Amino acid sequence: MTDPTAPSLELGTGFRDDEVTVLLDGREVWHGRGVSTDYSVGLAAVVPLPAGGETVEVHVGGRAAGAARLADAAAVESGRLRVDLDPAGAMAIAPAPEGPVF
Amino acid sequence: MTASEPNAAPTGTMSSSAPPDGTESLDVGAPSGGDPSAPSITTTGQAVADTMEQVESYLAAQAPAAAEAAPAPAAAPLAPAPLPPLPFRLASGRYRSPAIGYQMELRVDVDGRRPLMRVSGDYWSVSGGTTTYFGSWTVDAATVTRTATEVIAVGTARTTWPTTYTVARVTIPRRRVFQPAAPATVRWSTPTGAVGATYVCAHESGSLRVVELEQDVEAGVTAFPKYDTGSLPSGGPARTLTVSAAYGEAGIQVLDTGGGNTLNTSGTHVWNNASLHGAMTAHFSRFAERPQFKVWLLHAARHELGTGLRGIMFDQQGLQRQGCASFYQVIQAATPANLREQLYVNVHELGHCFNLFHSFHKEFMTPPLPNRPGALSWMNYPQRYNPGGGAPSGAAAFWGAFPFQFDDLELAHLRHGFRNNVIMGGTPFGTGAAMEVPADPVQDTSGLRLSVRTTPTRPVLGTPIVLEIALTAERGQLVHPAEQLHPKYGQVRVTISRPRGDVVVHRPPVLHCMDAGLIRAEAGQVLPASAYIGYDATVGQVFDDPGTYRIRATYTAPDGSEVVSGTAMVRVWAARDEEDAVVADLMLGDEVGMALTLLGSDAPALADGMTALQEVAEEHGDHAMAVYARLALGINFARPYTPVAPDGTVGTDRPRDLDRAGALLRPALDASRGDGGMDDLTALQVMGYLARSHAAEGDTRGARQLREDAGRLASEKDVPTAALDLLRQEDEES
Repeated sequence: MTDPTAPSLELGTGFRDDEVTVLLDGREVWHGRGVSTDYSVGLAAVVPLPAGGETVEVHVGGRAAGAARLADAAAVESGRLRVDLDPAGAMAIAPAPEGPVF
Repeated sequence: MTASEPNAAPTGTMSSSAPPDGTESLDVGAPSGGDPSAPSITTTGQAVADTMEQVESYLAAQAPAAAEAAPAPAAAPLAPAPLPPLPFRLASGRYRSPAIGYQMELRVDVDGRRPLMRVSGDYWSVSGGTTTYFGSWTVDAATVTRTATEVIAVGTARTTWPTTYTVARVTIPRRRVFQPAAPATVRWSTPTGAVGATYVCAHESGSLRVVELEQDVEAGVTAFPKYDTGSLPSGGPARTLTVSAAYGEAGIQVLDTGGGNTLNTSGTHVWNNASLHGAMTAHFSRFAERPQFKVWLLHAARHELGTGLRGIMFDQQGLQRQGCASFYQVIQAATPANLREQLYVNVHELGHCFNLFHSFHKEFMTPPLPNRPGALSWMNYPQRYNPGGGAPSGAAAFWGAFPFQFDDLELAHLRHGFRNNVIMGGTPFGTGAAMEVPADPVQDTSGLRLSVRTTPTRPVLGTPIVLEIALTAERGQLVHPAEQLHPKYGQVRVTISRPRGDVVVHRPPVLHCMDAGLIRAEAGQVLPASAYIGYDATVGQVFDDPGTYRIRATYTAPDGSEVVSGTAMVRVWAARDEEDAVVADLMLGDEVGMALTLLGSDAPALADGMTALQEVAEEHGDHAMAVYARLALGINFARPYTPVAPDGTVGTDRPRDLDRAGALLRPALDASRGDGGMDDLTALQVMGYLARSHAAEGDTRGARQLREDAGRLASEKDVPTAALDLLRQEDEES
């Protein structure tokens, strides 16, 4: 079960059977194949992040990549970052929005 | 002949009233021997009377109670004083024809709660002891007329199978309340009037679809009972809603089939999607790996995704969308806010089972639709509600305005979506997840009118299809300038219903960003634009099948008004001879589509496409499509090209070659001075571009001649002044 107190990275919309690698300060902390968004909840995966890192990078196969500072996530109460891809594959990483999902 | 599909006329003899085009009149009686597809109900002769007796017998068998309870139409009131007439029954509802040959389930949606002016239906093929789903059809915009005796809905249908009988005429005799409902008669014809099959369908229900709901509950959880929508501020009338009642308001009858098992889990049990699926297969008594309007809802406590997760449609393997769950961990206490959220979550999750995406995820559907973050719908997230234009957004604004309903497009999907796109266990989640064609607004006070038409008028397979767009200001107001009506600027969105049954929400391969730069249009002013829509960023070639395509456009005005055009229909004809086929093959390549979008390119990635266009221009120079090939090749020569290597190195410009450009464009323009060739606006734009190219090379005389020629052409073709203004403006800028 997700630890609500730990920083995490939500892989959100736009993932289609992708190979995804998450790096923290250049070190791989998560890798997944066949990552696809479940549009029932708008999530593909929730990646727990080790505390203390500064920069998160996300690579989605060869089609998209992006980075964000964990301080951005810390700025919100949930401590969650979220990465979304638009239908054309452009990546956006930002603090995850608050509120329930369903 | 025999009927090979359900809309066609069955086996029959020519009657004296045969249509002038030589099509056969309707046959009579039961399907011909061994042909299970022949419609059973026909129109003329003694056998029709026999068939009508069958229908009457069927109708009597279908509704004996209603027939007994209702007074006979001839039994007039005995009292001498005239009584005010009773109101009419609603015509809307579900109807069904006898199970002979093809059986039709008909859905009529022309009156009652939120009528969408649509009719739709499903066909079942009945053969021996088996009944098999055949296909679905939908009329998206029916013309409805009401007389003292009948309600008639007429419109053109989209179908899941190929047919030329696409015009449906549905006639329903009007009945007073307390009288039994009258049967509906569906008569098919072709757009040219050839008559097809006729079906007489008995009234079955006031709802448009029916689904069985089985609900189980996890130990310790109290399932949502009901909510009084007047308990907290909202955007609709106060009433008590259950989950079934919410769907009932949408025209969907939800039959609660009981079940009511309690799943005895530990007090700290945490669900995941796999365990939910396992629970469904174990506890859903009607579970089956086949499409059926049956769905399972588990009221549970918590999910591994945490307390923020209120519900999930977990069934996304095998035949999907048969089960969902809602989680009460933090919303169990029966406060008004919690009951409201419980209702919302349960209706929302079942909406996913009907194949509805979130309002803000529509762009991820197959095919995609524009997102609707401002939708006051069960399928939005209250906290993500954003109607735009600076209006209040967020959860408080949502709940204050939410009338507890689906939005119109979702309603259309629930009521009239093709069966496999709606039914649980049908198409995978997100495929065919909404009625993609824009709905007509219930009210339009925008003072704007949008019209579309395609050119050429009779395209053969492979012909580049151009959409001519015209925005008319009915009163003076700010609008986007004409050139920004091209879909590549995003103000106008185009949807194309294709004969294969899908709908393309057109995504231009090249998008332009531009400051809105609004202009003030005078009353009556027409702003024209034309756009090549034959190639799409998502699906590639759009018009790559012969058949009828229906195209609508939506313009988002500066004040947020969504102005919807009528439907432009274009029939793409199959190749008529060998040369047509060869040219079509050349023109339908992906690289050709992109090359036509860009009006030519030297880019190595499009070299094959440019070669194909060159072959069309040179080897098939007399073919009608050579105009478009010359257009792209000629414009490319009329502008310089700067090569950029993969490593980013910028090469030397290839200069304009106005001699070759002229040699290609002049015959293309000459071929467009009459009724053929390019549309008028494109021809003018080509002249304008060529004139600017000549001016850029110092050939002011040549440029002036081209502009004068453009002026003459505009005058001959009666082109709107806004188009000429645009050309003048471009000239000034150049």
